[in-house]
Amino acid sequence: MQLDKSILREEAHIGEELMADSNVSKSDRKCFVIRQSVADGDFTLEEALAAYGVSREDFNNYLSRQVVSEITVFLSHASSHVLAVTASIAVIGELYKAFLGNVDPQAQTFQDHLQSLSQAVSSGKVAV
Amino acid sequence: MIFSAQTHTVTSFEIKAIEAFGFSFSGTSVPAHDFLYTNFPNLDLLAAVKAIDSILSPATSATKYKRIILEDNPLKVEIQFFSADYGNEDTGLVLVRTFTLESAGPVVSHDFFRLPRAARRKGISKRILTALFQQYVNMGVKKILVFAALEDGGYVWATQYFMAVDPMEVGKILSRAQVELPQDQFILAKRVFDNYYTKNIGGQAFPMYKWAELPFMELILRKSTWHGAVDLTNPVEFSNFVSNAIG
Repeated sequence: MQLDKSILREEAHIGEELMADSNVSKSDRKCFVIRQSVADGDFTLEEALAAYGVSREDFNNYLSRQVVSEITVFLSHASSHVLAVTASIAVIGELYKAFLGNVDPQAQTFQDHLQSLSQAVSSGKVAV
Repeated sequence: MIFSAQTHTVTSFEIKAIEAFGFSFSGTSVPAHDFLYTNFPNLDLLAAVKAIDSILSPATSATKYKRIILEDNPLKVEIQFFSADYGNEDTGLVLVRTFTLESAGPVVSHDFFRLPRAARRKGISKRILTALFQQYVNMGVKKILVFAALEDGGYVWATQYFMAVDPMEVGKILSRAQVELPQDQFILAKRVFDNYYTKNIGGQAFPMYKWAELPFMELILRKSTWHGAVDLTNPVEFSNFVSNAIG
């Protein structure tokens, strides 16, 4: 029996099944496209959010999860959980400095708090 | 999922084992194991057909046809697995994958895949893709090709991060959008088009996923026809495809 190739295609239901089984949600797919579109210069962030129908809150949430996931993967290779937590506190401090260090008059208070939290984790006063 | 390339040397015993699964070889006059060893190194064909057979066989009670076609010009390996009623939209089953050796290396064409209605939405597509994708990595496949057409394929394959290779086909889709969409929506689709082709004149990797996620482009794409590719040598395309379709 010969296969009549003229009547066949990679059928859409195969792709639909892949989409349904995907670990990436529809909302995350849209957020990924927004990030890419803005990076490529198709749209400004505001234009992209409107075009793809995503709220700023959902996009911020997506972006935060991406950053957290990246840091978590990296810190999962730390030799101890305490080290991983103190390193994540340091990263938060650096992110804060980069984005708000020159804007927030209370920035030093926040950094002091992070430092004392880090010391408490290291000494075991705060269990992690 | 992380895929790492595994080396493999095909033997004549494996060819016999593949035949024992009911696959017949045809095409080249060169012994199959020599042909594969020389032209498609590291393809573990036995592992591939074993997976195909075990995943697809339970999905049909019809007579099954299993073939491996090896061609010399151009150099090709075509895997066919289909049921006697493959043409029936409700009960037919067919899978065809073709590896072709191009100057830059092997490419794989996702030619045909249809599952019987009763076997859909049971994770079969992902299991087949995952099993075969390991072989793509082993062989150093450069590109996965698909023809996105008819019955919504134009939309679905765009969501799976296949990039459009032919600017003319993309231009036709944009023209349809101009006719069918309100001006404000058309302008958004056009901006993606203009930005890509201004920076990549004659570009062969138009990001269809950017159109697919625009809510108003879904209907346009469902009626469209285009040739798509995932460039597995491009880390971003590789990662987008794998994390979305395989996980």
